Amino acid sequence: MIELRGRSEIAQIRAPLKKTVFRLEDHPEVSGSFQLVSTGTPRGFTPPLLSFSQDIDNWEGDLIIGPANMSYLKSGDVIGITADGRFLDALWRGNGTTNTLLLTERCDNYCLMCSQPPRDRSDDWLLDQAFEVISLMPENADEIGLSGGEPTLYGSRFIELVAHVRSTLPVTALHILSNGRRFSDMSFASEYARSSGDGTMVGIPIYGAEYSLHDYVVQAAGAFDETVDGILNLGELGQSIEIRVVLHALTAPHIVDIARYIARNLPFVDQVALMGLEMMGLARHNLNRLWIEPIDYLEDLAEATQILDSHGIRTYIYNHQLCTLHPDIWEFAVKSISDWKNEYDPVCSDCDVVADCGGFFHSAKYGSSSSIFPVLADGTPKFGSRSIPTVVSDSKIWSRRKIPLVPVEASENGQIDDDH
Amino acid sequence: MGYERKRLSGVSVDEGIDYDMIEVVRFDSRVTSLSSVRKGIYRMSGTLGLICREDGSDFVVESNAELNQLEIVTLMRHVNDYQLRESISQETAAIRDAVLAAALIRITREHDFK
Amino acid sequence: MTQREIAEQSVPKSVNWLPYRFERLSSDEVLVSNIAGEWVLLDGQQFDQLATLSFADDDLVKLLLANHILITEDDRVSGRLLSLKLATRIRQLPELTGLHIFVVTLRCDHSCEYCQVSRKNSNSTEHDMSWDDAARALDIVFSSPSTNLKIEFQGGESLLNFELIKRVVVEAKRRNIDGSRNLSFVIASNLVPLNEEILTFALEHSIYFSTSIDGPEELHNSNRSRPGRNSYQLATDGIASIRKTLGDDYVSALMTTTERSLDQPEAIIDEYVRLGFNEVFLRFLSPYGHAVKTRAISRYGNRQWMDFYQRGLKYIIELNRSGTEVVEVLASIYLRKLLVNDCGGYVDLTTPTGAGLGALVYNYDGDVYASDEGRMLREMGDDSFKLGSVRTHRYKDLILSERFLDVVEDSYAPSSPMCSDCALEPFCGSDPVFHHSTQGDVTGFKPLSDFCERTMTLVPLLLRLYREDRFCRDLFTRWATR
Repeated sequence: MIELRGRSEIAQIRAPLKKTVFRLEDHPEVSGSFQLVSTGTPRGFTPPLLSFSQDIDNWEGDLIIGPANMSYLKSGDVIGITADGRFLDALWRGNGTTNTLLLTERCDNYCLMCSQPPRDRSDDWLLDQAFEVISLMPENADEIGLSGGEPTLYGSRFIELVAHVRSTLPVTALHILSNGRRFSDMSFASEYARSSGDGTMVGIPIYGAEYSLHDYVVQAAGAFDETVDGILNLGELGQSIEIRVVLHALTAPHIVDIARYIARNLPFVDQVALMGLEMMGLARHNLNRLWIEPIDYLEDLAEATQILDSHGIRTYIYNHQLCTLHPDIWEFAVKSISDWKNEYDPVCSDCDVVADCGGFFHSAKYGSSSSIFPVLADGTPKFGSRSIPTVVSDSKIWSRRKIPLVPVEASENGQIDDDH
Repeated sequence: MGYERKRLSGVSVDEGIDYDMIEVVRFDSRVTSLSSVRKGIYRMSGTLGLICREDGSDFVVESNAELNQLEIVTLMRHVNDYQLRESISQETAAIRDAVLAAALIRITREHDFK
Repeated sequence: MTQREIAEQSVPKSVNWLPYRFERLSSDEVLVSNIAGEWVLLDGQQFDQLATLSFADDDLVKLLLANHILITEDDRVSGRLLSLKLATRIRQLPELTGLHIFVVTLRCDHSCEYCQVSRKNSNSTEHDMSWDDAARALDIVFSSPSTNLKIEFQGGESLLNFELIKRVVVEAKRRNIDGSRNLSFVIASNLVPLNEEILTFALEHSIYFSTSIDGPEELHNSNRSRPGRNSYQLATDGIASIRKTLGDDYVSALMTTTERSLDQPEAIIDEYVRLGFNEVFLRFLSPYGHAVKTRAISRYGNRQWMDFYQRGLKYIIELNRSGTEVVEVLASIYLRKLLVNDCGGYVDLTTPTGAGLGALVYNYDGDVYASDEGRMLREMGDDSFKLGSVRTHRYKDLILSERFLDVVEDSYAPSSPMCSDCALEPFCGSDPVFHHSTQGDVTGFKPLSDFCERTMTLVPLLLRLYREDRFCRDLFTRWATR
């Protein structure tokens, strides 16, 4: 599990930093250290030296000894530093399998399972930061994501950012997460279409085959109609669209209906992502409303996937361990979407297909299925049944909290804290 | 066209017919439309010889042979269903026309007819 | 939890009807369908709620909203979705005629009992199509706006005039040198005349073969007699040769269902599986022959056929369940209309009629017919469906003639009695030739129509299987989307 934010070991900063977003470059003179590059150099400002080793003597300028748990950073990565130099954020990593920029915490939906709970306060600085990151990223970057909250709340500034990505990073894939509602305004959708160029996709969630379920899940009246309208507008404008469905107790029982609805009404979308619940943010808070054993929707998910696939819609399944999926749809399961999140349970060491399995999000320590068991290559349980083998987990390593709650040994630091 | 229309049922409101007709059922013209009755009759005319005539405020359905209970009930159900279909049609006429027109315009534009 | 809480989603807003049709399939089953061909199966009690717009069951309301049979009062998007879906469903219509059948000769060595057209004298060329007529037919082919053009050679036995087939293929490709059309060629043949030269030519030009296999050898040979009584052997030899030279995909088989077939659907299907085919088309009993000659309406035959079909379909489903992948083609045609937003390209089950609009038949003498059945009627003295001649008519003259347009209009289902109100109409079609032959009327009197009865029996059969059986749902979805 990689930490994306850390506290500097040493921050020798004489005045508040005038720039806060930097690309790392190997320092030409001080070996093992990084030169920080920003967009533009304000008069009288020299970026600090960044190092992860403690033996830097005789450095006269500003100096930051970075957090020990962020020593994974390398040349080409883009970071943010607080003006006082005390905290670092990894904003874009060349080694990362997903890099997503948070643009805002504001949102006009309020999903019951939101992993980024909305905060209703102005945070334009995040958008400004994003412009900087895009400018500093290497041109050969594979991909970048834009997320929130709801990015389109920025209106034309959002579109400017999209245009900025496309002009600065012409070969980088851009994946935007949005609730899609703003695109129901055709003029906004058209502006977006003029800037999105090639290689841009919008991921938009649909949580029901009719308004009442979707609006309830996202806690916003009128959301479904606006979202579908937005998707239709983007479709008419030839834009790339991904539809996302998070599977939990409210949506999973209807996944076949949702799949049919998409296949019939939105067949032009590029792909559909069916996603397991991430135990973060509001999902943990609303667990009693949202938790469902994946085994309980095993057949329905298989049927839904086959409906989409047979209609020629590319389908991906995320955050489901292979033992929770019907073997017929293993080919649709994505092994990993994030290198800084995935872990495995001790019982997985016996599993024949663990090499193909994405394992768990780190957030599964806040709760995940009890029905995890090793399987053979054809999907049948390896030890003849689906019961939990009695394996005592080592208290020193990460351990999942199984639902229904099973007492576990003390976690790493005895606390539950919000991860990113 | 070179083919002749063969009338395969005896449904006619106007033409005189040479049968002894038996009254089967009456419908109140104030709540049942003539077209519903005719459609109900049409539906059953594969096996039955039925006609409809007006008698005051009633539509009277007559047959050239005795109908059994099931046939009468079936006829009444058909007439009721056609009456329902008429109200569905009336209530949804506006949106149906709008949807059809929009679909045809879209196809026409796409096809770039010469 | 939050001030923005929406109460439990159990109180739907006020709802109204979208345009829909309904049909009672049995005492407690009602099929409801909308104008985009989407359907739901309700029980009597659920339908009453819909009919009176007073709902006790929220899940029913949600089901009907999701399938665009109901609309909420403040809905913003359903009208748009319906028009998009309807446009998708009818999008192919302006493509017009894609199938062009060239009857290159009437000569044939078989005398199949259901055939109306063949001539036994295998040497005379007076019943062969001339090159001049074929060339004029090609003019008409390329006047069709359709991007996809399939040229199918029939007869008699088409390979007896292989020289003409060669010329037509080469000339058609020459005319399509710019690649603006997708050309494909099919030779319908009993495969007896098949030889190396034919196979080589077919390989070079990617020509497909369609042959007749009526069932096991005995059944096949009793339907399809020829000197030597070995039609089956020669056909199966031909299938093997084609597979060896061109590949498995290049030969398919069709059966003609006769009275003899009706008690052995399983044997016929087993035969197809044994011969390595992965699809079987359990076709209707042909009305052309006995029924047409006497103009008698034979309900008995149709009911027997439907028993035959149901047995055959169930048998095929069981074969699939135990691992043998075989498709029933008639079911797949209906299922495409039911499960996919597409009318499908089968000319015999489409409205407006596929006759003429979807397919044209160029007879050996240059006369043009709206369908193969129309051509067969001519052999019995009825030229109702002759549209003209390649020698005197262009494409527009053929399909814009008053006579033909009357047929199209009079048989158009959404304006025909009973069909206009029928919930199954999106899954059915128009067959003016069939109704003219059996009832003397292109519109057809549906209460006595075998054509109507077939759809009214098969669609409910398929829907019930789909609803009750998960395996069937997957299987049918694959058939519908292949």
